[in-house]
Amino acid sequence: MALQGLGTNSGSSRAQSSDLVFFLVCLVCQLALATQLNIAGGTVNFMLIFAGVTADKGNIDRATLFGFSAGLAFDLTSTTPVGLMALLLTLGSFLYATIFGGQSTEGSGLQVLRFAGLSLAVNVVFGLALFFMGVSTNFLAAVLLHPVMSAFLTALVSWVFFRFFGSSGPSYSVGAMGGGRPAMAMPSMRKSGLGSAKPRKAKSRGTRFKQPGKRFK
Amino acid sequence: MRPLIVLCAVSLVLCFFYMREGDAGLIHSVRSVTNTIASPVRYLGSAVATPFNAVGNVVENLATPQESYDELKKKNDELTTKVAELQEQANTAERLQGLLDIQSTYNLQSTAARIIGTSSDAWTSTVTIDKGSKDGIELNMPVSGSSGVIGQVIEVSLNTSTVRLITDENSGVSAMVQDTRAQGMVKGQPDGTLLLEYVTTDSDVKEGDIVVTSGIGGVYPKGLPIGTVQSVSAEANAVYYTIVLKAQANMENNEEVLVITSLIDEQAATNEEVSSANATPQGGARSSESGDKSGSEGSSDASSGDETGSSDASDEYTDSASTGEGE
Repeated sequence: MALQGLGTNSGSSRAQSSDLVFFLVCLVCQLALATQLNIAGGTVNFMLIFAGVTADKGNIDRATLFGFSAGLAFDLTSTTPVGLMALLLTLGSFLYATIFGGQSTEGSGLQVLRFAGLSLAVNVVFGLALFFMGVSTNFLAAVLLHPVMSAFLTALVSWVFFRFFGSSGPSYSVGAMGGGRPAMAMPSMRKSGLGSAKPRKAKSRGTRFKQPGKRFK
Repeated sequence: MRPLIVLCAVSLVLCFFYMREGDAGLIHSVRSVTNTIASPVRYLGSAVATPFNAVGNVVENLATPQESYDELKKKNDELTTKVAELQEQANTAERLQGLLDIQSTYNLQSTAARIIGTSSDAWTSTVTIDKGSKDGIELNMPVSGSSGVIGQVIEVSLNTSTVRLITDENSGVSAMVQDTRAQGMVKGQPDGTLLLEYVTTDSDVKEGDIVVTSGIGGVYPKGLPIGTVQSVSAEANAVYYTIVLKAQANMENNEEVLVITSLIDEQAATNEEVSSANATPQGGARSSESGDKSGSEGSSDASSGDETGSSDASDEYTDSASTGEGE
């Protein structure tokens, strides 16, 4: 597993094609299903699911890029201001990958729970932004009703995607080979040049992972 | 950290230019091209959802305490599916007949289209129709269902268009109470209801009154049904009523709609009518046969107002498109 984590050329290309397939699946779902499912004022945001699942794998740079791509795809296929969801998913993916990335051994249930938090935060900020931009005029509906229902539905559907595309799902090894940090990766295995906050973050995570981390030293 | 900063900056720039540019701007054009490319997938989604809608109708019908539906309960799955398909086709034929009726009643210059999807986000009330610029659809064209106004085209791609529904919070349609000609503006609410605003408290409005388009904005033809008054209230010393409407038109998926491509002279409000509306926004006396009127019956005489007055027209009651409102 550790070798897979280091990545090879063929492994990297497999991971890239795997991510591309996952992106296309989410995009098709967004276009075909999200427009048909509107339950109690909420809709499923498949692009948010894509961003969340890829961020969960732990590679911060890729998560940021994929978050931006997913957000832009959402913006271009909806009627909301272009760039808004791209900004939110870029930031959201970065934060999610930084804080929770690579903790896939905890099981898909916990992953979904964490993702629900991301989903709720993104939807609330999105609703707030739409309210201040004048797209939505009712504060409660914009910041409470739509975000909560959308976050709930999105988190509910995300379980399937975490199961099949997540780092703890069947395609975990493929996802990890693409440069993504393995579940129990050491701070030293992280890609360099990702910011000065890294060592501090790694240190705090080291305490969270307890003994398994030390085994690699 | 660098990708984060760069991508955030790109997002902000995109957002800024999107808000600043007009409908013909670069980002809007990119979105239009994206929608064109994505339209086959939307069609696919619509096709996939159709059988589920049919099954939903069957479940609804079975719950209805009628003998014919009770018999259906005894049928096997295959026959139930068959009935559902036939029922769906019958509903489609009925809706198309309704569209033909409204087209001939109001003499609408229009193109028929089908709703293939709804808004992909929860904050806006829009639908996507299967006709675009190649079919002659243009921005701001009004859209009507078989029973009344449903919205206005806000985005057009090659083969699909996005329609902002009148229930959207950003919509605005100049309207009047059919019986008393009291003027106002219909705006959407987050809960899906409609609010008739700017109707002065000296107007005669009551529950059950039919509200129709006034045609003052020059976007919607006058006399098209919008909704029925559900409640009328006013706070002490208030200038305007708070009037809640129930939308007349159904805006479900796979519904056929008419995109009104142009207005003929008799459908647009004349200068005299606009002046009169602004001079006497509270309208006049209620017509005697008002209680028996239905939405479609009243359509033809909706344009035959007795308004006279000065030529000093304000845009207080004009449609949202004519005032430049919209995304």
